[in-house]
Amino acid sequence: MDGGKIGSGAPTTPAIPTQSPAVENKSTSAKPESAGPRDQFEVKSGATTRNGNLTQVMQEKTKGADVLKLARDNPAAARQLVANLALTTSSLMTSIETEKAALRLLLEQLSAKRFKKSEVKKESAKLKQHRANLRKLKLQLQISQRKMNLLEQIAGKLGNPKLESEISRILQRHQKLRSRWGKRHHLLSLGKVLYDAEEETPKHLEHVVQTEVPGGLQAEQLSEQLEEISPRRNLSEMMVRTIDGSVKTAEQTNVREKTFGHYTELTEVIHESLTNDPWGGSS
Amino acid sequence: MSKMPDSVTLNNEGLAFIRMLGELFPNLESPLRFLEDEDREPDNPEATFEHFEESNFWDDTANGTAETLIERLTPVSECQARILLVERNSDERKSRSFYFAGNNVVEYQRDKEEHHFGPVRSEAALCAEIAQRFKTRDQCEFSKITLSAGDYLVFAVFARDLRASENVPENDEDSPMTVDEVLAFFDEPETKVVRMPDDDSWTTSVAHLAEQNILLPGREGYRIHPALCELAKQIVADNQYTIARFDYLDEQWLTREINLYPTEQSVYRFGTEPDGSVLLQELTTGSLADTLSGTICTLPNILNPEIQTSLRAGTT
Repeated sequence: MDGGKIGSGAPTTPAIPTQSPAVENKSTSAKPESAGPRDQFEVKSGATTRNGNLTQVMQEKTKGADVLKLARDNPAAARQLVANLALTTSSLMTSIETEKAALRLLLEQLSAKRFKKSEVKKESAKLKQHRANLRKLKLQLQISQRKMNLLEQIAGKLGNPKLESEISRILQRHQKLRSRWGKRHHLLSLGKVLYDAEEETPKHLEHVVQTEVPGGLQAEQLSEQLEEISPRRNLSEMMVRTIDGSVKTAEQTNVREKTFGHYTELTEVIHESLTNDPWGGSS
Repeated sequence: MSKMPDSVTLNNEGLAFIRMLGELFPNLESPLRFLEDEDREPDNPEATFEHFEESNFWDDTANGTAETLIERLTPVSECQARILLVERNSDERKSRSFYFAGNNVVEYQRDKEEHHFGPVRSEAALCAEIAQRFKTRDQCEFSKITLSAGDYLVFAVFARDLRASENVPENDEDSPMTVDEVLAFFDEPETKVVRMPDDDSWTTSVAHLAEQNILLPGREGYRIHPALCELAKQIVADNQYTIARFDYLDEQWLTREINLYPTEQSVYRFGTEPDGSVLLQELTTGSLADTLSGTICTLPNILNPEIQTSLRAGTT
């Protein structure tokens, strides 16, 4: 998370309600976020967009970090912010309907002329202007709705598995183990590090993982990769292979995408273990 | 041709036409985002308009794309979440993608220039559809077992032994393993860097499993409880289903997933608990529905104390 501020982007975004002095003090005395453990999987830096259009992509980001912090520190303020966001959403929806109505008039004319290419070309500038207005409003609506979802659904209550600092330690320890069963035992014990939940985490959120993803990479591919290299999935497969005695080939376990840094390294270690039988002696 | 039942197919030209009409705004996470990135405009709007009229994709009264088509496109173009259903076997990985926005879920598939959009359904309907792929029992003796990694490895040794003894004539070699035989697997010394189980802890693991009734003592050793024999003999890693949901919150995504392994008569979930224990769960009809709902459905509102946060992912 990079600590972006809500309220600094789209003009319709409501401001964060004033925090209590206690919360403010807590905030100022806190260490910089990058120094402490982070409650998410991290991504290697240096990711760029498919077509290099990073500026546009970043404009479409909602910067949720401060929202989460607010929700964790001050639930009453978070509720107030949700109420403000609901008002914003409602007002944006009205604006979208108004803009759509204006566009409909133009489409009615084009439809009467059966969308002849020459007619469309004549009205092209107007069409684009309406579309740009709508796109802007829709983007603001999306930003509001996502902030609301963030507050309503997790409200800063996800567990903190201390992944960044822990995974490299896990990997170092793992290299020092010699037997295959020892390595498998070690990997099967990783749940606490990977999916640890704080006491205040509601039951239904214990299995939810917050994952930091790079702006610009195609979400479709990214989600496929995340599913492919998920430690939870790979560990479940390890559990079953420990019972059925099957092993995977090195080709089957080849992790092609290296986007997720330590997360990927951990997956490679799990995959390596899947290529051998734990009862088969030293590796 | 798409194998997706009851789907509507559009090509790039059709999508560009709808975009021109100001009815398609693919967000960053949408698989239709290329339309925006490439600023796609229709090459031949007149022909596309005619095609839309013939296909009942056009609504004359509204002077726009038919609502029935728009409601299939919007969850994909303005997606808030993606739900992936992945089926793996030893040879291939097949996946189906569902996109969610508002209260609607739509399946989406792309074949080169063609885009297939499935019917609109609710999250609950998707849960029901996925649940129907699995055979379940109404109840089971061991609904949920959580074991330490050490206990699980001991259990796995007994399960492997049971599987190996299948279809082998009765003799001394296929009688249940003794504790000593189990321990013999683990006699290799390990480093002190990571605490590894020694003989005593493996004996303790056997005792734990016996306490939980997972292992039953016999004359010559221990055997796995009959209710777990199907799991021990039939579970196969190369028959794996993963259901994952990604909620898009920009740089942060919320991800949930479950991994299921069906057998002939039932379906099992293997996973990891937040306390580090290994989870092994036979899903009954009810618990499968709960587990799928916990993974697929929108998270409840936890800021509103009046709303029940009743999704039961991993808690059943």
